[in-house]
Amino acid sequence: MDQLDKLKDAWKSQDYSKHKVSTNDIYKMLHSKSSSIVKWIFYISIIEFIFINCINLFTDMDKYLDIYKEMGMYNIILVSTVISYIVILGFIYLFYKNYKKISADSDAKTLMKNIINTRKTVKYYIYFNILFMVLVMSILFYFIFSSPENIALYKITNNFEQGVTDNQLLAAIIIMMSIVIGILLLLYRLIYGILLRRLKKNHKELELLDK
Amino acid sequence: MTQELEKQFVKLLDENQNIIHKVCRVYTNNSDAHKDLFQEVTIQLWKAYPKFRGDAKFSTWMYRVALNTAITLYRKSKRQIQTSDISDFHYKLEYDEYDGEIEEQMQLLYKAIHQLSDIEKALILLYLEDKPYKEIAETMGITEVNARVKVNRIKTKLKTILNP
Repeated sequence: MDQLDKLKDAWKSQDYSKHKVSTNDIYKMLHSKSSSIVKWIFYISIIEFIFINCINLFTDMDKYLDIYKEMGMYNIILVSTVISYIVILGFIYLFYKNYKKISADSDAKTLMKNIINTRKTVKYYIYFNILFMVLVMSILFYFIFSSPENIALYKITNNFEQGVTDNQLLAAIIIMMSIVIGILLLLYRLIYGILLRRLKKNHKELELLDK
Repeated sequence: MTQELEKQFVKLLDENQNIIHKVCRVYTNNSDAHKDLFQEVTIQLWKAYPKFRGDAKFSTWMYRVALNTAITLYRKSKRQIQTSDISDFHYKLEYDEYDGEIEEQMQLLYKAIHQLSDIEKALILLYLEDKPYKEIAETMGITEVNARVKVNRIKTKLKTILNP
């Protein structure tokens, strides 16, 4: 019998009666708030979802809609809005489906995989929005830059001096968009990294075990 | 109905609370963190309890939820202090039928276990609880063969720590 086998008996007969939690305290615990990572993931995902939609709704649609209409780009806005809504519905469905799969009594690997998949749904949604934003903006700016009247109108609306050359304007737009997207991605990676660092490490270890 | 379920659950949990204490002791190293984790495990068990069908033993199901909470679901509280000395002070346990030497070895065993990764801790805990490899594999979501191989590796690692 090896050393650890000998300790098994001592291990199994550990007495925690000194630390016993009373049934009264157990009742209280049942009604206290969980600090589970899944709860945090759920709230953060909802915040991200609202945040990214606020950018779409307030920045693009409301403020600039009339100007875009005047520039003859109403259809692009309409189509992109419809696509956005279809994607939102698809995302809500997938997020809910993955979220419901998370269960504390799954095996350890499945639980980790389901949590990672739920986060991935949000991650892909964020990435989709950023790519979609870049695509729609590129189309819009293509139309703006293909007509001198539209450029002039754009400069007035955005408080650019009329003396600014087209190339300077384009460079300013690209730099601004890159900064916004860069900050968004950085913040996102930071939140994602902090939340899932330990989980991903453990999931990787379990996966390596089965290779 | 809910009250009845609550009563039934509290009774089962009370009878098996040693399991949660063991998991907490392996994954935490001070009494505040131990209490925090105990509470979170209890909440998770209660949330999952309606799905417990009784086709597995309550204790087996409890290990699974408790380990999942410790490894994956629990967010470590900021007040957790990362020292193992404190744990020895707080958790002097009683081994009535064992002599001082065994108690000393148990303290060393806990110290050694605290040096393992989250996954290794779960595997060795289930091994020390004398769980069959099939159950260990099912709890962790790995194959039985790999569970056996990994447990043997952890045993060797522990022996090296225990007998430097």
